[in-house]
Amino acid sequence: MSSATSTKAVPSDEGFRISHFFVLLSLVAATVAVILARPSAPENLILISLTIGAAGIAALAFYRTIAPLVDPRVLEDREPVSAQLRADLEREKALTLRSIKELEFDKAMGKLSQQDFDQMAARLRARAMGIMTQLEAGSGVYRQEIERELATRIGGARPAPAAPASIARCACGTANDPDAKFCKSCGTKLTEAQA
Amino acid sequence: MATLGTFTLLATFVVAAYAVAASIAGARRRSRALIESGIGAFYLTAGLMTVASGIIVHAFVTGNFAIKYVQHYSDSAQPLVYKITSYWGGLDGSILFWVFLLSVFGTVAVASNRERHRELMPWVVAVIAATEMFFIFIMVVHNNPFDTFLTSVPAEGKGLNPLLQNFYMAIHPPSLYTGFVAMTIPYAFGMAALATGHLDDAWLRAVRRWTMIGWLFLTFGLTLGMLWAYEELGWGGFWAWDPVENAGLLPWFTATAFLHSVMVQERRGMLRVWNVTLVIVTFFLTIFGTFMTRSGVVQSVHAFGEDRWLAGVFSAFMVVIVTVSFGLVIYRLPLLRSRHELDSWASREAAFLANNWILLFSAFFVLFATMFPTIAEAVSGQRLTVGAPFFNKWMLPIGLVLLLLTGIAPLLAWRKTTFSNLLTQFTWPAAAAIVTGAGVYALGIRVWTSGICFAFCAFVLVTILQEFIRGAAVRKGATGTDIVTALIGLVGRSHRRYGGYIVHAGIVLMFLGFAGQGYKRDEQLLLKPGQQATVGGFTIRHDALTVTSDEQKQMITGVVSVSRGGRKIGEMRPAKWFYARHEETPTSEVAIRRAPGEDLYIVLAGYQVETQTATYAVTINPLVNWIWFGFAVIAIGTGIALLPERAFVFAAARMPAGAVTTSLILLLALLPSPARAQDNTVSPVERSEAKRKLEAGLMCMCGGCRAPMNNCPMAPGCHGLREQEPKIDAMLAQGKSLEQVQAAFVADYGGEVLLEPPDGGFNRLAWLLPYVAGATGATAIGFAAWKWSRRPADTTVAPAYPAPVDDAALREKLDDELRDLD
Repeated sequence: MSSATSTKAVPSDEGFRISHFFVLLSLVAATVAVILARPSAPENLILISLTIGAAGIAALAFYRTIAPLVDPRVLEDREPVSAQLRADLEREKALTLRSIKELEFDKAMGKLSQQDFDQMAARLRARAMGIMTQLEAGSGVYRQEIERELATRIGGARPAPAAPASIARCACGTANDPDAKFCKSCGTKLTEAQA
Repeated sequence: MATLGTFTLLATFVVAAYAVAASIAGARRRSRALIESGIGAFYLTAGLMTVASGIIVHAFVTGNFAIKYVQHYSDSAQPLVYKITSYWGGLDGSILFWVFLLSVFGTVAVASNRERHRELMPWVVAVIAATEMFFIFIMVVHNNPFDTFLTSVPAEGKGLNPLLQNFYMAIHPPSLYTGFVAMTIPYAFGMAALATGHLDDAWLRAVRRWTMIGWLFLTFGLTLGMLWAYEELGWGGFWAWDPVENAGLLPWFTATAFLHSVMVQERRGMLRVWNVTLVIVTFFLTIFGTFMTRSGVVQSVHAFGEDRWLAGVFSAFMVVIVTVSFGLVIYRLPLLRSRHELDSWASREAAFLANNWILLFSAFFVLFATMFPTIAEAVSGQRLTVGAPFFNKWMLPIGLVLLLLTGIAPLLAWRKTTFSNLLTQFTWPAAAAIVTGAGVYALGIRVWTSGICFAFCAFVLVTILQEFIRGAAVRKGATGTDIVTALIGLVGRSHRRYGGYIVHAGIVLMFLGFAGQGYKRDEQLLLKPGQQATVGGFTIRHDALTVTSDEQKQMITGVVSVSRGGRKIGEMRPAKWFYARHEETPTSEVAIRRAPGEDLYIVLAGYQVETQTATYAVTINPLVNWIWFGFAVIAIGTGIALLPERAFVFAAARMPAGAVTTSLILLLALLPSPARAQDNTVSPVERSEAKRKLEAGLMCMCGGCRAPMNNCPMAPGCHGLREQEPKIDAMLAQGKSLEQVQAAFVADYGGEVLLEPPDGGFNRLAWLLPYVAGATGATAIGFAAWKWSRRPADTTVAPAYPAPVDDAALREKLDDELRDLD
């Protein structure tokens, strides 16, 4: 929470996006066009405004075409890779869980034999568990990513901490927060040595 | 303005070309900058096409008749709505509209899948942008909607074809186009998956959603087309197997097949090559349908006219599509291989195979029969006609089998259904079918096709009901709630399956309407004012003939009182409208009295203003409204299947229901009002059984309608009919047989006059090939199934994901989450 407010407060140009410029531009252009074409039926004016709006979108898209070639930094800005990947994995997991549910339902409706059910359920469960492990293992990587991003935003005031060291690994293999007192998976008390 | 429009088109072409190049280069060199730039360019095409659309619509609204296209398809008296819809009223504009839709859809698809299927994106962009390029190329080189008159600019436009100035016609083409265009997206994803080799099931998920949307819009467009034909053309029917209608139906068949067989791949991992093929074929058929409509290779009421150049360009494009697509499929065959096994014929997989066979056969048959006149002309040089009777002969049994499968398949289990299982599942539906069949027979309906159709409808409806009830009962048991909550939870959780069942119910309702056509009645009445006649329980009295006009048209209206059982139920006003500058083709304004049981459908077929006499073509159309209602149910079902993920899809899926509401409001507007009865009865115009048969089997040769004689929309004022009818009468009076009359007509007009090609010579192919194709398909599927079922059952599980360490904590966590999901 605090990091969110601080990042917002530091850079002043964060509020103004390039798309806003194009919206303003097309609004102005539409106003001018409407004033010029004034003695005209309302449907004409609406159409003219809409067309100019579309032209504004086209201009924005044009910017979008050129920008990645001219300024590679644009790429990084629009790229919350880790968050996106994570969301995808979560989605994948939800889908798999739902498929398992559906399979159980089919079984209850009497449309599946026990053997088939076992086979398909085993496959789906393996898949779900695979995704869950991936999600869990990923959390360390995400932390690294966040720390790095934070470091660049603050302006390198703080060196990027070595991420693996900051993670408390429990005996069961689960990665815990550095300040955790108990393991979030098995509940074992974490000692200082582990942290 | 026109210059700006042309410039926009040129710019779009360049930008699309850049999008293709940048995407492919970016994908090959793994350059994010290039890929992102390509995506930006792709968005830019959508922006530019929107601007171009804005320009052309503005030209229509302001009446800029310097632009040829605007001058040709609108005039200043047209209402604003039709001025806007004139945009897609002609060939050039419809191509522009096509590209506009494609670019917008592509943008939505790319924007919403950009992160999830990142590796596919550059290829998706390239494929869609290449398709856009093809259509823009046609516009720039050949069919520029922004072409202007070089010298004298006309002061007034020619006006949109009056037949198209109809509410349904305003939304029918965009709906069909939307369906067609939406099919490009699955194709683009399929191609991208093939190109990158990411052929797991992930791309299917993105694709299925778009296919469903496209499918819904295709269905909507086809239904609207039927509704339009029914209300506007005035021949009492709704489907004439016209090539252009068929063009819309072809991708519908393959898309339906895909939506079904994709389930087999999801559940069992089978049919992977087949599914990719279906996606390709569906896209190909949308392009082929456009080709058929635009190039004039087939004769049709609504083809845009012959155009050799377009035919050539489209052919080249189709060759490219087929070569590239199937080339990629063959290249990736090793990756597409999957383990096929079929345990039993009484399984869901087998039912899906049968379903696919039937749908594909339908597509093939319709395609073949539509193209046959063209093929025959090329081979034997003789023009002939393949009309509705020939289509009906084949599609009727096919439709019935498909309907039956709709009922059977959901009851079968995956892999294997045991006999006792079959018994419990099929008892109620079979009983319902038998009871309905007997009931229909007892009611005195002796048309066997309709009777069987009713029985099957009952069968399917009961199976669907049974699925819902049993499902709700199981869920009630599992969650411990009441039955209604269980039902809602059931649909909410397995929305795709139950949405699908609702779609099936809608299809059944449509079949009710089709079955009703089996025993519809039509009569012709020649009435003086005050005279009346009885048709199928309705007494129809001609009261007056009025002539009025407004700034667009002159209207001749017959005023008719309708009563039933001595009680007046309403006044109906069928009319003929003569639009300015289109006087030679008056439109029939049909008067329809709608009811769930049967429609009373009256057309003012002919009139004499001086004597106030009128000829009415009266049709009793049983159950026809169930077709429109069925569509509403389909829309709701598809909406449920599409429901959760994104709100805009939901909105799009629900929109179509509005059209049906309109129909229902129309229905209310036509409700009865009180009056008196009078005795001045005449009988309908006498038409013998032989004459009816001949009229159904011979084409009206007026040159415009290409319809059976009893269905010519210009009847009876049609010059073709005025020549042909007396001939039939004379020959029948001489005691000639049906065959002799037909032979005489062939001698007079050529083989084209027969709606079913005669069985002989090269034409024998038309009669044999469907059998051959059907049998080949069945054999191929049978062989594949036999091969798959012989594989030894392999019980080892091949995990799709790297097997995780099997740890108990993880398993427990999974169980926890599963419990939370309810």
